[in-house]
Amino acid sequence: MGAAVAMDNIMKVALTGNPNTGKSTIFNEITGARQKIGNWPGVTVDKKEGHVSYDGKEIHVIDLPGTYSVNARSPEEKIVIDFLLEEKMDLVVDVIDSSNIERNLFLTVQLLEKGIPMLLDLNMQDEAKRRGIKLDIKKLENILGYPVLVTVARDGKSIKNLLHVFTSISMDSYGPSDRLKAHIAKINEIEASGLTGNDLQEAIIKQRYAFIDEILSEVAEFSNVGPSFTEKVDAFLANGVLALPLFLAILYAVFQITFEWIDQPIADALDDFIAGDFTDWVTGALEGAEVADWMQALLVDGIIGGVGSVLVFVPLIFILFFCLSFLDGTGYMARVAFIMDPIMRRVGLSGKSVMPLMMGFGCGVPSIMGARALDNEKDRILSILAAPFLTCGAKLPIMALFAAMFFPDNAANVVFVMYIVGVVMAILSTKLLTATKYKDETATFLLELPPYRMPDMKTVLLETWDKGKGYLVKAGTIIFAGCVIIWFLGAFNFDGMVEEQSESFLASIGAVVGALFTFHGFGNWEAGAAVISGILAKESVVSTIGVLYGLADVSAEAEDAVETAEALGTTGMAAAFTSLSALAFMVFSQLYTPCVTALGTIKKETNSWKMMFFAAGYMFALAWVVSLIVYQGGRLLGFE
Amino acid sequence: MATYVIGIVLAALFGLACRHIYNNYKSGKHDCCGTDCGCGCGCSCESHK
Amino acid sequence: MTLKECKTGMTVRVESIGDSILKERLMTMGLIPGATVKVLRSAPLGDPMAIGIRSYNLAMRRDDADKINVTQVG
Repeated sequence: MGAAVAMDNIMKVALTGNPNTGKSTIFNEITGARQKIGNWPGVTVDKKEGHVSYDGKEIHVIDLPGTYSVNARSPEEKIVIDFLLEEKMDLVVDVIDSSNIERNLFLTVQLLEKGIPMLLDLNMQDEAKRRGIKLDIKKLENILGYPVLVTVARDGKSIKNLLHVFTSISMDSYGPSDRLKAHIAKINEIEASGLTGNDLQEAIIKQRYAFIDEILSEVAEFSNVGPSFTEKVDAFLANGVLALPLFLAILYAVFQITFEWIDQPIADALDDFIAGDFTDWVTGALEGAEVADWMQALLVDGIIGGVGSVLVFVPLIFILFFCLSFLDGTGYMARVAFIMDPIMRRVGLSGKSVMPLMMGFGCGVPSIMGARALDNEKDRILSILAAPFLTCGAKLPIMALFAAMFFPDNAANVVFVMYIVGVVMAILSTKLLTATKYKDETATFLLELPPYRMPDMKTVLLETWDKGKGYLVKAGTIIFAGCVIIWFLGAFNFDGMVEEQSESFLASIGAVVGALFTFHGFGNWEAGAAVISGILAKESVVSTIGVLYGLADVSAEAEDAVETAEALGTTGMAAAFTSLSALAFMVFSQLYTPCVTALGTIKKETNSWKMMFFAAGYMFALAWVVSLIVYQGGRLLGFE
Repeated sequence: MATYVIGIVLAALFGLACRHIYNNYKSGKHDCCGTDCGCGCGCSCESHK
Repeated sequence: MTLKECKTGMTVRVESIGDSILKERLMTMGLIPGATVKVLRSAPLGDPMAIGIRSYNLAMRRDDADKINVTQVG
């Protein structure tokens, strides 16, 4: 019996609706951190579930993918309709953007036709009001026969009220009105009329919009309030040639804020702590416990030095993801796809590729997987081969470290330039591949430009955490394991433990690879070792440098490091690179062979080992050439 | 003595780290990516078809 | 004329949509014969174009807009 009582207390709620309706915001506001993101079986579409207690009830909420319709054309649409038809939900909530109610009602009407009882949530009520749209809630309820309520997303009271309605509403007392039934009868008539294929679909779509227009003529009042805020902003940000420099300016601002304003103090403090107090404390404790010297070295140089050098950059990764998520939440990213389409198109990529590619700034893996959404083979392959050139979160520490060491006065600018190098190379490489391997085909581009909105902070923070936490996990797993291995390789050779790292296994291996870069200015074995380990995971480039040169050296202010290195006459990091060779190394790291995870994804997505090895070899070669040009070109111009 | 203790702890952690990497490899999971589409439209990428 | 030929600022009514892979999607998004469309602006280099329809904005390439026949209403 106890179980039965518990069951009564659990309520299952599904959220459905168009994209850009504030549906996810409502989901995040309701469930907060009590949510988990999984995958729908068999497809790479997020399945978001969460729960909340209210009024003694346990409410389980599932956030269905946002779709414009449920014609089962895309995986999302199929998920939504299969789920709503097959799963027994206590309540289905259709979130509607009131300021865009005409198109939003299309999905609503389509779902009601299928006999799915729903609570209609007219969200964004404040925005509708600003745009001069007045809606008669009671009338809408009467016309459809289903309950309607009003919310303002991001307003705590609205959400509370929503939960109250969830727990108190009885859907049994609602059912299709006569007018809805009449509409459904008309749809059935059309289906029985003998029309087939596209003609049938089109006739049904027309009938739905006819019904919607009829509803709105009674329910809604539109008054002209002049151009909206979005129109005014778009007149600059998404209009003509000016949009491109503004895009660059916005990106640049994001960098300045991320690096100069926020990250610098945090990273410095973290640096000081890990390389200073923490290392001293551990060293002291280990000596006190009379731990063997080699074990001390493994812990301090290998693990703290290696993992620590990556950890220092984790706040930076989080801050950058926060900024990107924030920008994402404003609706600006759709404009980026819009203004970049002409450029993408000229190099042979569809404008649609911009969207999966932009994910490449987070991580190459979802970017490569996102190429699935592109409909022709050429676009998919080109998009997959372009994604790894972008600066992912794991490459960011490399750029940040070298920029801080060798260009302390212009660190943020140098990192920004490296991002641009990645984008430009992705574009040039695509152009090259299009010209040599693939012929142009036509593609389409259809994209909603949602209104600009103030992003919901909870959503931004949750997204930042979701994307950033992986880097913490990696620091504790693959980077940690890599550091241990690198340290052992750097401390031993066939004769046992070595006095000097330069006699170790790692030095022998690194020297072979390093020799490839003799004319790049970084032909030393340490750089060679870093390059190899970077294929494991890109952060490993930094952690390997941390292990080999020591964290204290890596993290110290550049001038100090140079002085220290000069004073000691050692091969410290600052002595191993000049500004120019550091730049060449950054360019190489930016462009060369992606990490094994990304390579594995390329294999999986293209289902071809050949493509994977091509990608690995091609990118290495391209990086080698470009980096060489940077170094030798720089020397010709008189830089060092 | 302390050397052995730390050695065992490190070996265990190393083993756990390797297991995590292996499990990721087996299940096709990746640490460093939220699966959300970064396109700014709030939907996942497949609905751009 | 077709939507492709429309200048920024024009308001037009959709007369018909020629067959294309986008047709059903366009109609689902509310672009059906009889609907009113406002041409809002163009991306750099003139393509794609942004249009306002049914209280929201949509971006499409001019090649796709070429399949949409319209008459000017304002």
